[in-house]
Amino acid sequence: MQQAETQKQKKQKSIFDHVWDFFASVKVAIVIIIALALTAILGTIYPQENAIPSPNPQFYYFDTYGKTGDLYYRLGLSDMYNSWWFLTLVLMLAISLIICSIERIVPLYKSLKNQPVARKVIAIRSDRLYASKAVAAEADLDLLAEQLKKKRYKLRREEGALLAEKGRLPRFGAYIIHIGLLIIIAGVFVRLIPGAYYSDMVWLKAGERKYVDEVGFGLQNNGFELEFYDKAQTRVKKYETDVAVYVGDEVKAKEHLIVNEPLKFNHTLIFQNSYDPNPMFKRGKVELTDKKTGKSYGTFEIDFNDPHQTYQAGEYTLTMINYYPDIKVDPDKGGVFTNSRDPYNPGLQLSISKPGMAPQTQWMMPLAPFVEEMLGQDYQFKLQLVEVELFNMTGLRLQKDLGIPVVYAGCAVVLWGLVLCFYFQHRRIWARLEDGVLHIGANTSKNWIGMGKEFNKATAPLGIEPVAAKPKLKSKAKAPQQAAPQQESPQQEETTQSDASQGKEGTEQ
Amino acid sequence: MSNQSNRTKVITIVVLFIAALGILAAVFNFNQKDNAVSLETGQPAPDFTLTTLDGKQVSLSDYKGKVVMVNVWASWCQPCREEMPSIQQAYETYQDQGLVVLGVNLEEKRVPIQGFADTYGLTFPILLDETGNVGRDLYQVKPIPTTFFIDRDGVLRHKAEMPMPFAYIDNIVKPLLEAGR
Repeated sequence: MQQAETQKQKKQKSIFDHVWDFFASVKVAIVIIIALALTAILGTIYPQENAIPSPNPQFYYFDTYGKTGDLYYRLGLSDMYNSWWFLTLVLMLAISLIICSIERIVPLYKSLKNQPVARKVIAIRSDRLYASKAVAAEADLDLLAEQLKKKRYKLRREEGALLAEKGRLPRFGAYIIHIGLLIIIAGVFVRLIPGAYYSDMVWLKAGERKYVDEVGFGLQNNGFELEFYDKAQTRVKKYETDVAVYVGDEVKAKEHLIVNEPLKFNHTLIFQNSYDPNPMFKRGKVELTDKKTGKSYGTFEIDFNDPHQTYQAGEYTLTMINYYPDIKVDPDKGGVFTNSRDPYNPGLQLSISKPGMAPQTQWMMPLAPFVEEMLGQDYQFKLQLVEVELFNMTGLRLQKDLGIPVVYAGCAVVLWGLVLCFYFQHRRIWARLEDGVLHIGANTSKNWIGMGKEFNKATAPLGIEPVAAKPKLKSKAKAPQQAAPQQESPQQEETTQSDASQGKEGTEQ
Repeated sequence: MSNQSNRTKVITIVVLFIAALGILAAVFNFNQKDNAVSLETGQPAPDFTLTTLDGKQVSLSDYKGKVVMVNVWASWCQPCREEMPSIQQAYETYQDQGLVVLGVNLEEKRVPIQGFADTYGLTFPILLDETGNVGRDLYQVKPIPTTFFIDRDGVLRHKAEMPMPFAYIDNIVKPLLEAGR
């Protein structure tokens, strides 16, 4: 690609020339694309950090995938798409796209802008589509011009010469694709602007409100509905959340969220994503009775998420000695502990007293009603849940990506460029009167058959017999070219090729 | 190639490279910005204010001149439960010499924490970090337990991300107590 230049320029190249030539090379562009593809493959060996079910990647990869996972994490492959070297590759691709495009757009644009109307006859004769009329005059040119106008060609006329052209823009289709790709890359980089991209889950208990600073609002769960198809609760029918959006202490939006119908607020989509299958205790009404007589002393209400220190049931005072929201028995050491901070399986150790009575300590576990027998105790009182409200945590997904519209716009530009490239052609027809002979030649960027049909239709009124396109020249004796091989360059058309050596002449009447 | 196009080339390359480096520098900076507060040892420990289990407002800066252990913990975390006795022992051993322990509890409720403190006989102040603003955001604690050792001048001297036996605490706290006397 650059040999021509090196031949022309024996003088010292500056560092800028070297950089330019590096990025203008299609080989380099292909190497960058392959490198990106290979690194992208590497990034899929294990899930990326944003997709792992753990907040601690430094342990997760080792625990889940062993030594190779640890290596993967330490090489930075677990957060590859945000790593400096991957982004550098992407930026190099962008620079390569820009410089490759400039390198080719500018000469193409200039040569098309400056093409002369009166082309040399020898050049017209070497066109793949060529026809001539032996006895012709300016009137024939007028007739041809009229025909071509019907076909929506743009015409330029000079004395004894004509240039008809259509579809110049599709010649630039490839560069429009490049521009679209650059817009897509820009859209990917928009994500890296702080506040432009956020994607995470929010888990809300009943009535809970959580603020997500990254998106600038809070969410409150005002009720979660869960329905099953069957009694055994194996197949879920629907799960929906009444959600309220808060900015500060102000409700800004309310929505009954159902799966696949997100609420949009502040450029952020809020999806009903999932729920916690294990119900939690929300509140309960506990009745204090005498175990022997069954006499009820009174009831009290308990909030299992945030209980009080003391409760009153009739004349009895109940003090919370210990409260384990999610009680588990330690198999090694005995004793109990809480497995999480959420009330999945509450365990209460209460001290029950009234004036003039020694305090009694009792355990109560709603999910383990026989705790007394388990502990081998004989309690004086019975603590029974007479009312209970359970709930499931709702899982909402927040999704904010300001880069998406940019990426879509880039995709649209790419599509437009592809359509221009594949479905439109750049067609040109030259006509020249010389010594009373009218020479007509045509050139197209692709689809020679269609071009031939159009050519013959336009020349038929002049009494010219139909011609077929000559086969493509496979001359090895071509002058060194500067343009990319797949692009037939505009300058090349002006260079006269002697096809005498080829012995290929157009069918002449 | 004419001089004109050479100039264009130089300008194009310079502009593209400045843009690319600018983008990379910006991205790199965004990633750095998370660490707005430095948690390096040898730097002043960031101040915070929280409510204790007894309902008092307590700030780290209240304890200037003392050696402070900030222990971030939760009752559902087994290693945290394991190290509590050694922390209590260290507190009892050295509180007369100027050691303060602040047990910063992550996102749990008052009553269960009170029960926990009674069960383990903890006498040092327990601070309620109900939102995780101090432990998770300001001090960027990932695994718990994590303990920060702060000297008499309020400078962070050591960070331990594991359950600590008493000997380990002893090793770190002793020199800190002797310094700045």
